[in-house]
Amino acid sequence: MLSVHLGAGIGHPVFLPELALVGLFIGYVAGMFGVGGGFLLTPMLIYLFGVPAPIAVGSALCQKCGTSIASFLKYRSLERGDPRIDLVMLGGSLIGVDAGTRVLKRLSELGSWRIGNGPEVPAINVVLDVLFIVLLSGIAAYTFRDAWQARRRVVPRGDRTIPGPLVTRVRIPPYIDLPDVQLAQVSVPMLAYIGFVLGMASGLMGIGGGVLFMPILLYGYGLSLRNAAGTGVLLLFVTVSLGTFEQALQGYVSLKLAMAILIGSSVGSQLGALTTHYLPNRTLRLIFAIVVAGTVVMIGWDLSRLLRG
Amino acid sequence: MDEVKNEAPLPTLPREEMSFSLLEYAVICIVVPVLWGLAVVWASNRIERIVLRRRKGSKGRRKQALPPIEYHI
Repeated sequence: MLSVHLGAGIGHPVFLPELALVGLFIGYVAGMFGVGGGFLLTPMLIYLFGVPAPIAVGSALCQKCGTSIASFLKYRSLERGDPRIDLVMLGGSLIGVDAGTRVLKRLSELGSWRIGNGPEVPAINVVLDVLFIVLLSGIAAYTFRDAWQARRRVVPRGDRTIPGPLVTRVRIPPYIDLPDVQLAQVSVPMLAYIGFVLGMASGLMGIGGGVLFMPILLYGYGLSLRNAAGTGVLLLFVTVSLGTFEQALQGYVSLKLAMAILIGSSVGSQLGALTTHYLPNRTLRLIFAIVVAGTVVMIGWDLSRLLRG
Repeated sequence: MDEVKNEAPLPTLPREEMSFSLLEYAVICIVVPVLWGLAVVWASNRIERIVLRRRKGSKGRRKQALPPIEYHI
């Protein structure tokens, strides 16, 4: 009775409470660590529910339309970040999300690959698995390192911006001044290129891009945690909306699946945000790194299972 | 790595969703989650206000009802 057909090419029925639990978990992680959770959601939909990879990507983007508009309104009310960065990156991001969707379509048309003497495996699953493993391994390593270094910080730096290498070393004109986040002479083309990469990741992998963008803002541009948090949310909303639209036109979005996850994650994100009051920042980062590393192991195990048959 | 031709058809929309045109379905896929997101913001703001009012009335302490969701990495 609780199993439903989700449509959009997902042939088998899916057990609704399981889906709601995954939504709750994703929301909890998102609320606790302040990331969208797309890097977890897409692999979980593929491996736990057997959702075809393109549908998992499209539905994850659709779910993020709801979470990103809520985040944007919250951060605007707190006056965090500088939405001008989002606007500069928007052009590159929109082209990127279109490119990502086209690559996803092309990959889904590739059919299957036989690697060595193993069985035939869907090409799209292999490519997405490898991309997720590379991306998430980098993020886990970076977060571990950052949490380790945080032991030595005695005084928090507050809201002060310390211009990073993407401001001081990348000198491609024209430039823009961003006084709201205490940055001057920031290269506009560099921001547009980063927007393109983030958009591409959204269209191809169904991730919002926060998990990539935060390290860029914190270490590349040297923004404080609070300013970095409020930056990119408008970009995220526009990118995932366009991504959802394009993926839905390809038939890659299951609205039922996205809404079931979204409803669960709305509750989970509030619980996750409450947890942040009881755990220190460094512990949160360590837990986050462990969650990401666990996801890498899950994807790696699934890939090896696929290749072995 | 040999490329093998895919025999399986690409996933398509089910019949009940095809009653809308594809364009309408794509718009609905954006509008419905956005409306849900707006409803969540409205509800959480209401709850925050109610809890704040009660706390203010009881102890006079100004404490945030629900912590805002922040980035921590």
